[in-house]
Parts: sequence; C-alpha cells; structure tokens
Amino acid sequence: MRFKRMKRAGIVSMACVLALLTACNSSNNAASESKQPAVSPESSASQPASSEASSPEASYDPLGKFDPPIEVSVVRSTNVLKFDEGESYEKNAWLDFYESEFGIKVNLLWVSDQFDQKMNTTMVSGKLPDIMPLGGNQFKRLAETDQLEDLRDALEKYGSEDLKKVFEGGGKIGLDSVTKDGKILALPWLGGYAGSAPLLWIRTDWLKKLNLPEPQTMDDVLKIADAFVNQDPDGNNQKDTYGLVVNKDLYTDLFGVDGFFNSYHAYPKIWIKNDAGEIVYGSVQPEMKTALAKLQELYKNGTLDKEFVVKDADKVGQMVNAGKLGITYSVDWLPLYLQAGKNQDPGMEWKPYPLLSIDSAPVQPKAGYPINAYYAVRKGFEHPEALVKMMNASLVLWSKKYPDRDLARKLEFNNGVEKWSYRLVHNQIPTQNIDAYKNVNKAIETNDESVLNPNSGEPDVYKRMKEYLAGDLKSWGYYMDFGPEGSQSILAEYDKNSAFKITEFIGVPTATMVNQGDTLAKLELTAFTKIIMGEASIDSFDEFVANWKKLGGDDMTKEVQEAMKK
Amino acid sequence: MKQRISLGRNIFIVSNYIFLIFLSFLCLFPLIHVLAISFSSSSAAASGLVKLWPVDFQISSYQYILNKPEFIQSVLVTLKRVALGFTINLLMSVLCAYPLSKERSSFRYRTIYAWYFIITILFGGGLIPWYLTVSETGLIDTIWALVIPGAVPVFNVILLLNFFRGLPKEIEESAFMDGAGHWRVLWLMYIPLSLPSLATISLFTLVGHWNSWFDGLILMNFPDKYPLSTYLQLVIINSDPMKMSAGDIYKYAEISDRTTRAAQIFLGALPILLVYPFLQKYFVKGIVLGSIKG
Amino acid sequence: MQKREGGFTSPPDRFCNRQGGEEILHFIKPRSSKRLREFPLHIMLLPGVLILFVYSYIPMAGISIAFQNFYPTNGLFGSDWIGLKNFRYVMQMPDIAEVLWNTIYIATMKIIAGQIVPLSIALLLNELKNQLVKRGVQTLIYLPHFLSWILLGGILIDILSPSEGIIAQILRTIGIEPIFFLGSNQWFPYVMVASDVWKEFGFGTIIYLAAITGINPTLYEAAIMDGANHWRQTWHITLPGMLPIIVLMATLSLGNVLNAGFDQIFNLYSPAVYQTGDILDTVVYRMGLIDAQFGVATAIGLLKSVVSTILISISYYLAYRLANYRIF
Repeated sequence: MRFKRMKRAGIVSMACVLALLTACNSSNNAASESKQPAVSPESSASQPASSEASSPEASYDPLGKFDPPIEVSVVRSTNVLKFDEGESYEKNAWLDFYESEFGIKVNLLWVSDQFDQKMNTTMVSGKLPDIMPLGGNQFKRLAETDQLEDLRDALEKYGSEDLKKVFEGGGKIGLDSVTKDGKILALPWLGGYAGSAPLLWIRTDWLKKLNLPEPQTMDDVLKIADAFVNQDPDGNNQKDTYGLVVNKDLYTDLFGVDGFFNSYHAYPKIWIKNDAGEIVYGSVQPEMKTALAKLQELYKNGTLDKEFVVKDADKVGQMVNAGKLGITYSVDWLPLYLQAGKNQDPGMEWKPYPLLSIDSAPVQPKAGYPINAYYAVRKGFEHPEALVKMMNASLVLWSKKYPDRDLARKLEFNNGVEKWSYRLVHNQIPTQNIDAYKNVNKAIETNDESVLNPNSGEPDVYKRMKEYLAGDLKSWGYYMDFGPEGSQSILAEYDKNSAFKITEFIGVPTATMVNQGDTLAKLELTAFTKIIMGEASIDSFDEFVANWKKLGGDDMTKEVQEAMKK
Repeated sequence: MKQRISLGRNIFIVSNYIFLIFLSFLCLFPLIHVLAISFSSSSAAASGLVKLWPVDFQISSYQYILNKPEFIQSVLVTLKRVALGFTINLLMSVLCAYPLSKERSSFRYRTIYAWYFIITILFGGGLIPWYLTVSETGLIDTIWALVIPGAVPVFNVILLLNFFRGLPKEIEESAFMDGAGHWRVLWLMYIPLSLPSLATISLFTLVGHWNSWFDGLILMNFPDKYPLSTYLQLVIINSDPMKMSAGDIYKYAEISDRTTRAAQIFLGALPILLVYPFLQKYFVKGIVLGSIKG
Repeated sequence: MQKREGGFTSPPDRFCNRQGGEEILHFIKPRSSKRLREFPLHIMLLPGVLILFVYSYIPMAGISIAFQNFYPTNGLFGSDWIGLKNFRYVMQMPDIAEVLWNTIYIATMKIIAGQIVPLSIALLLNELKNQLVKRGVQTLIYLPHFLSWILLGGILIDILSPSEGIIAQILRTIGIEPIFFLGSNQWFPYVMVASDVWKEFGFGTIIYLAAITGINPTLYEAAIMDGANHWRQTWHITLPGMLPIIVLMATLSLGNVLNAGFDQIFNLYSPAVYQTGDILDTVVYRMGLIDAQFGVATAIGLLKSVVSTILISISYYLAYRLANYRIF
C-alpha cells in the first residue's frame, strides 16, 4: 500500500535482478573484480612481443610510456577494502603510477557498488568509458551491438610474455570465448578453476573422539557420517549432531553437495563429455540417480538435517560453526569461513581430503571456469594498447624489477593494506593459489621470504601461517588452506595430474539458456529436493529427465555442442 | 458526566493493556536480538549462538563503522539530505494537498489534477529512464539528486488531502467572508488544525529519507557523496561471505559480517526511535474543535 | 443518526450532499470571481506538477523497453520492436499459472489482513488511557518495519523450526505435533502473510490513529449523553469517522494485488515450497540472474501497473457512484 515504497521496491527488485545476475555464479562471469593472489614468474617484462619484424623495438614496448601522455576514462566497482592514509579511489599510488610510468592519465568517471546498475545506465546514455571492466552479460550485449574495439592487434604487439602465457593452454579457452569473427573483443581476467573444486572436509577431532580411522573410500565416509549422528561426537548425551551438510540450494561453493555427487561420478550443473565424446548436461546423466538414492536414504535415517530444505548455505554455515555438523563438501577457502567456529571452540579441527570414490575409479572433482571480469575497450578509442599495458603491469613484480624505487610499499603491500588492489586492471595465472601455496611453504621451510610474490596476498599468508605455527589459533584458517596438509596441497595434486573435470561449456549463456534456463533449473531443484525428502520416489528421476529434455534441455544441449565446436 | 464502568468493560480494559503490551514486546524482541548480535563477537554471531543477550561482548563492529572517516562524511550528507528533503517534501505535500482537497464546486479541475498525481505512483518506466532524466537535468553527484526527484510524495499528498477534507467547511467560508484568500486559509487555519496528520506525514518523510539508500548508490559517482544508509549498505554488501569468491579471501578475514550487519540495522532505526515519541504528542484528540464555532 | 447542531456535518452526511442543481448553476453563473478565487490553487499545484512531469512522466517513456528486444547501447528506443512478445514469453512459461495464482493468493491475503489488523490495533490503542503505555506501544509496533528480511528470515527460520523453534515447543506442550511451517507447501503462504502483517502493521496503525484524532469529540460527548456504551460509540462514531481513510487505504492497497512481497519471499522460500511460494517477482529475479531481462522485467512492471490502475479506478468509481465520495 505504500506506493512510493512499492515503486522503490519495484525498482530495487529490478535492480537486484540486474545487480545479482553475476554474483554467485562462478562458472561464467562475475561483476565485481574479485581478486586472487596473483603470481608472476620473475621474468623481466620489457620485451617487445611483436611478431611483425618491420617496426623498431621501441614502439612496441609492452611497458612503454605514452608520449605525449594520453587520457583514458574508466569506471570501476568498489572492491578495495582498505585504503592507505590519504588515499581513495580517485587518488592513489597506482593512479599516479599509471601516469608517471606509462603516461596514462586516468579519468575516473564513477565508482559504484552497484556496478551493474550504473553500467547499464551508462550504456543507455551512450557515453561509454574508454576502458571498462564488464560482466559476462554486459560484454555479450556490447559485443553484439558492435561497441567494442578489436584488441587482437594490440595484444599481439604490446602483450608482454607473461600476459601471453596467461592466454595459452588453459587460458586459451577463455580468450576464445571472447573472440567473435576473429576479433578479440575483451581481455578476460581468468579466475582459476581450482578455486571452484569441492574437497571433502571432515571434523578430525570427532574422528579421534570416536576412534575412527581416516576414510579411504566413499563407503568409509558414509560409515563416518553414520557415526557422527549416532555416537554423540560432541559428548553432550544428546542426539543433536548430523552427518552430512546440505543446504536448500544444493549446489553452492560452501556446504553444497557437488562433491558428494562427484564421488559417484555424477556431475550436476556442469557440462561434461559422455562416452561418445559429446557434450551433455551432467544433471540428467544416470549416475545422478544412484547418488540421489543415497541422499534419499541419508535423509530418511537422519544423517541429513531434515530442515536443510529451508536453510541457505549461510544458515547452515552457522550450524557448522556451532558444532552440529561433521562432514561437508566445500571449496578451498572453507577454513577461513570456519575460523569463527574455531574461535568459539578451539578444539574444533577440520581436515580436507581428496574426494573419495564409491568404486575403484578415482574421482575427478568438478571445476568451473570463472572469469572475474571482461576488460574491454570502447569502439573508436584510439589507444587500445593502453589496456594491454595496464594488464601487463598487473603481472609484473615491480619491487623486484626496480629494487631501489621502494615500489613494494607504494604498489604492492604496505603494512596491512593491499595496495595492489587499487589496480584498475587485473589478471593472473590460473594456478595462482597453488603457486602461492608452493611459495609460502617453501618460504617457511627455508625461512627465506624472498621467494614470496608480494603482488598478492602471499606475504600476508606467510605471516599468518607463521603466527599459527607459533600457536596463534586465529590464523588456523590460513594454515588449513595453504598449509602442508591444507586445501591447496590437495588441489596441487589434482592439478599436477590434470585431474579436474572442468566444465565443457565456457562462454556466455545461449539462447535457450536465457529463455528456458530458469524453468529448467527450477525443475531440477524441485525434483531433486522432492526425491531427497522422500516425497517422490527415486524413479521420478526418469520423469524429470524426460521433462527436462522436452522443456528445452535438448535444445540447450544442441546449442552448447554448437558453441563449443569452434 | 462520567460513565459508569461495568465489569465487562473493566475486563476488556485490562486484557487490552495486556494484549497490547504483549504485542509490543513481540515487536521489540527482534530488535533486541539485532542489538545483541551487534555487540557480540563475530565468531559467536557466526555460530548462531546469540539470542537476546550479547555473547563475548565487544563494540568492534560499531568501532569499525564509526572509525572510518567515510562514516562521518556520510552522516553529514544524510543530515543535509534529511533537512532539505523533509522541508521540501512537507512543503510540497501541503501545497498539493490543499487544492486537491477542495470540492469540484470550488475547484473545477481538481479531479484531473488528482489523477495526474495518482498515475505517477501507478506507472513507471523503470530504473534506466529515471536515471537518465536525473542525469540530463544535471543532478547526478549532487545533494539535489536525493531530494528533487522525490520531492512530491504522492502518497502523503493523498493522505493529507483526506485529512484536510475532514476539517469543517465553515473555516473556509468564514475566512472568505472576512476577505481572506486561499493562502491565508491554508497557512493560518488549515495547518494549525492539522497537526496529527502533519505529524504523521512528517514521520513517514523522515523515515523515508533517513533509510533511503538505493538512490544514493546509483545517483552518486563516488563514495564520498554517499548518505549514511548507502554507506552502511556498502559495508554490508561487501561482507556477505556467500557472495565472495575464492579471491576475496583476504577480505573475508577482515570483516565480521553478521555483527556489522546488525550494527547497521540498529543505526538505521535509531534516529526514528528518538524522533517518533517526540512526534507523538501531536497525535492528540480534539484539536479540531472548539474555536470553530458558528 | 441525527444531524448535529453546530454545523459540523459528520462524514456520512457529507456523502450525500451533492445536489445536481448546484452543478448546473455553475454553467449559468458568471464565473470570473470564481476563477479568480481558484487561481491561487493552480499556483499551489504548479511546482508539484512540474516536478512530477520531469521526474515521473518523462521517465515513463522507458515503458517502451517492454516492447523491444532491448539492447542498452541502442538507447531507449533504438532496439528492435517486438510488440507483445515479452508478455507472451512470460505467459507461456510452463508454470506461469501456478506462479500467478501464488502471487495473487498471497497478495490478496496480505491486502485484507493488512487492513484489518492495523485498524483493529488502532481502535484498541485508542482505548488506552495511560499516555505512557500508549506512546510506548505506538513506537514499539513500528519497529519491525526497520528490520530487513535478510535478518528476519534467519530469525523466522529459527523460531519456526519444528525441532528447536519456540513455536514448536509451545505447540508440543498443548499436544500438537510440530509442523514444518516453512518447508510445507500448505503452510508457507500463511506464514508469509502473518509475518508480513506483523512487520508492517505499525505503519497502518499510525495512519488510523491520526484519523481517529481528527474526529470531533463533541460527537462522543453527545453519544455518552444518549447512553451509548463504548462499543456503540466505536461503531457509530469512530468507524464512520475513519471511513474515508479506511476506504482510501483499502483502495490504494488494492493496487498491490500482484506484489506478493519479493524481499520477504526471496529470503524465506526454497525449492521445497516453490509450488505455493514462487511468485512473479522471484521468477523474474531468477531469470535476471542468467541474463539481464530488461524487456521482461519492464513488461511485468507494466502489467502490474495496468492491473493496479484498473482495480483502483474501479473502486474509485464505485465509491463515487454509490456513496458520492471521491477517494482522492
């Protein structure tokens, strides 16, 4: 009845529609420039990268200065956590650096927390900034209406070696996904697939208490889950603990069941190749049925919290921190979330394990292909190489390159302030967290900090791990992520063996995905929830598959196969 | 002349008190819960342990919010916005409600005007064209963007016009006979007699401006122009653990989300808690009587 | 009911004071003095009219987005015109009937309860003599309005939990089996209505209280002299005195028949209750997560506007024809 509020709510709802479209979906795109500790090998980056032989070296310097200086208009979202004294989005060391080192004078048009909203309105007003960090769908819209400059030439001529390496191998897929008719329309900031792979986490203090061995197979895990429910691991004589964590949205990075399904060789929500080599959708494959039946059984016998169906991941997380759950499938940074629980109950111990299989075939954990941002240049801007140079800059270890210029404090890390996050343009190598793990552990072993890459959180991680080793439990989370038995160690193994099952579909949503995607997702969630709750029989899975195919699933599959063919 | 109070009446009175007091506690508890969370340690909050009393009492979430220079800045912006917005809204409400409250016999086009106003709360083009209009009129990044586009609170106008209608027609008629025009009738007679309704829409206007955060977010280009509610929103959105990706690890370690969220809500409700009881003295019966005889 | 001395006509009488003859006279009498007198009224309205024109009417041009295959960089009118295709797309979704029904069902219950509860509470509050308690209650019941559904969602999930929630505990002591309120398709809509009313009834109560204070106390005095008890006073004086405001609030809230409350439902629903809990706005929201649905979102907004306008116009004209009362 309050119309102003109603309308405002309507605007806000629409705003939320637009703003959150890229929030949690890690397999396609992200609007906010989430940062990952970046690692760049210690190579000097000032080599001309041109394959054409006719021009003099100087004009293709990847880190060369524009003379006369140029002006570049940019926009950004508010993702800097902390500013140093006297610094802000409009005035900081990196902006000065862009100008003094590269001759790029940055004109920041706006900074916004509702980046999508603001960007949408900017697009309609027709005044695009010169360089823009876009979300997947914004990129798609601008690409389709021919608003973006071709970057192929600029990348060829000005891309540093490090940058070109990023776009090779696994990174090439990312670059291909932004190429249209041979034109490279954006430089994607690759997020690194390892960060989306689920690991098996178990409360080891409960294992010890109940005298249970560490699990080797999925069956062991199920036995442990049962014990956690029935053998009173928290010692209060009440049956108030559960075995396995699930939340109402089923597939979430933390406290989801992706890992559970993976252990049965089922891959919901991602696209995989079947035996015939065709790309198909994971949630409708027969392996899902076995896993679902198991979940149904676990719900029935009380291993799962019967009320999970109304609790989101955050709510479930609260229960985990309160000590009510003992097994979860979550991604690598779970221990940082659990730090709160650890602070409450220092006896709580969690350990990650690789996903254990239900049979003799090893499990490949699923992985997405997150692209944190698409950096694009508006069509008609005379200096697209400015973007390339700025991206080159994000991969250089400046303090190592110019050790006498005291750049570490200005550009990288200064007393608790992550200065590199001021950068307007980021990129990184997909294995950066794993590299961080290697570097930090080496530094601890050899007590030599020089191997650390200050361009990311490495010095901070190093500091925290040393604190933990000295007895400070508040840094337990970092240790369980980056330590010798932590998440990264397992991910490093997987990576070494190329054992991730990365989604086969990388790109912006296809037509059927846009039109029927929600209907199909709703169908899937409802069907699976009903099965798990026991409200529908396990055979209703077949009905679901048939419906899914009919309502657009087949069309979607065809489109995906087409899209990934080229 | 006093009425005799029956037993039934007494029972009713007592149960009424009990019921209403119970109801108000029901409404108070969640806020107490929020308050308790805001004063608890983040780990206790993150484990869902806080009920109605803080666990591991600490004030760090308030410190976190209050210590930032942006906080003071945003409070100043909000104060400016509320002062301007309140004045303008109230002025507009009164100016528009008065003519619309007249009958068609005294004011021929009133129905057309009334529909003109109503349509604006029924239809809208959405966020983008609204933003463009504000932008083209040069208000982006200024305090006026928070005040001018919403200057006419149509719902309040309608409320007020209905209250105005409830005033005796004799006021107007006798004033006209004395030679006064509409202006004097409005300012010297209608306003003083409409204190309850003016208090009502004042409250709504104040609440609206204090808590309105989305417009600040969209219409301002840089965070230093944000009003308080927007600034608080910024702190919260940044700290939702489920919305973070792996790369935000370093961010997560810094923020205690639930407690800051709770502190934010409390800070948002606080001024209203302080102002509303003050406004209530205008909700007094019988103002419309008395001097209007004959 | 008798017409009172003193000239102050009570509202029911006002409903019937229009004489047809008066209107005809307007056409005959010289109007210059009338027009002169009306002039200040136009001036008073001028600033409002201008501001609304610029900031409400001009943006309405954006409704064109609903009819295009909208690409932002083409500006507001530059994309391909696709007519009603956006509307048809929504209407052809497989479960749209269910979603629409959920929306209307929940919204209508909220409208009805959202009128009755504040009205009753206002009447009850009016009976309190103790000013301190009255003011205290008045302030406290407005508080839930300030809490966000993100927060309230979490609280509600705890309270309504069939294993540990306080409601379940109460139910158990009176011998009823615990009900999984938020996980059951049967109960979900009612929980939404009840919790929403609880959160927002303070707002309506304020308005009704203000309306009550506007009633002439001499009417009460006269009624007491005639021997009317409190109930009769309420029925014959208070309620009729509030009638214009009641009708106004009821009419305006009719416009919300397609607004079942996105914020609340989004924070409380789950796949287990999609069947009765999924509403129009949550569907549009999820579609927007996959790909920004400018056209569809605007189309839905337009649909809501049209429905609201129709309903409100109907009540306006009903009130005018039946009771000669213009709501606004």
